[in-house]
Amino acid sequence: MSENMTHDPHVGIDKQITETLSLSRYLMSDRELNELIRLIHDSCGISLNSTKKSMLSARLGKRLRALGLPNFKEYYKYVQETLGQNDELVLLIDAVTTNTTHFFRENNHFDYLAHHALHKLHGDNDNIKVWSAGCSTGEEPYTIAMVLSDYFRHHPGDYRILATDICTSVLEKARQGIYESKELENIPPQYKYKYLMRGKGAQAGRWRIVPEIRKKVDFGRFNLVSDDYDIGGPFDVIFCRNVIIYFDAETNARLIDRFYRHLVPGGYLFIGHSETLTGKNEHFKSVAPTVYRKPEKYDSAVRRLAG
Amino acid sequence: MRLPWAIGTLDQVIQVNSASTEELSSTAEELTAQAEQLIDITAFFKLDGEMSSGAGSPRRAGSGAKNQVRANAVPTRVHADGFVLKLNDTTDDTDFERVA
Repeated sequence: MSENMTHDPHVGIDKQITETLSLSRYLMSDRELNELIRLIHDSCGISLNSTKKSMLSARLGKRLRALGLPNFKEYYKYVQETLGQNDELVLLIDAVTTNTTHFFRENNHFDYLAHHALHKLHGDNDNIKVWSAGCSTGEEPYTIAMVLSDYFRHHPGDYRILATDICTSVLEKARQGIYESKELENIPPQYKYKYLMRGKGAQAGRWRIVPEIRKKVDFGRFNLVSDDYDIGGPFDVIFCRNVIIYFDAETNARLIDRFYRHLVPGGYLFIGHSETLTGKNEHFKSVAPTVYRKPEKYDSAVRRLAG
Repeated sequence: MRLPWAIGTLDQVIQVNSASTEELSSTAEELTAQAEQLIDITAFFKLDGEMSSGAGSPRRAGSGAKNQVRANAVPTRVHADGFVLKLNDTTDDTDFERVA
């Protein structure tokens, strides 16, 4: 939906309303549904089934409209072509990803990080490296950055955060670090006034993350199911919350194994509150609800001797 | 062996429900953004009385309505089709000031 369209009185109001509401004029056959489900699974790991037909049809309907294509059959054909693969696949994935997030979401994770994990990690490592995998619009990595900045005010050392998401549109917002007041309601006041700046003039009503926090976070597009895991590391902490709920068991087992290999011994993995590693990985130790730890070198040596 | 099986099933149900919850939440955010855009569009009619002073500018009427909505703190614009990007494409911090 373009900004102009919203304000253009010459465009029929019925058309504007139709487009604003993304009213779906497109019907999806079962065959098209299955082809798209397979394509989505192969390109980004998201596992959908036929119960998501209306969601998929609504989300991709916008892409059909943007491209001026008449139906899903033509759309599927286009995405298979070279041009479509280059230009459209990224936008298709953008459209099918779910990006729900907010600041200090599942706050006990940040309590655990500040009061338990950092003390354990900090002993032998003054520089903490964190990966926010599935960072969406930036609320999670900036929350982590606020907690870590606060911690390192009282402790020697520093930190760096890598924040990745497969969806390109959320990364733009994340990089800018500008949020509406309403999006900040979960930030404790002592953090809000220290780590955000108030907008004025054209930016009145918005807030922006302060530059010293912004420069601590590197944002980039990353596909968690890709074969190329050349992303730096190892990390002391990995946050991957409310991501594995979209993947199937096989994809998750592979992903969790990769997280394990990209953590330092004694490193922490935080997953979403409704998620579990039970049956997905036997190496991680559960240290708190939805908080897991890779055994320290000593632990694994002992286990090997015992086993 | 029935308990592990039951827990495994429970995990699967929880996973499906969690994904649906997140998806619905995302849809709700988008609907909120769309509601705001609709208000913009229809404000062209509603604020007809004010149009004469606005040199026939529907843009002014639209943003007037938007401010009204903000004041009432009902819908907030959230990311919809990269809309926010175009609006906030600022690279420096001149429009922001520190509070603390």
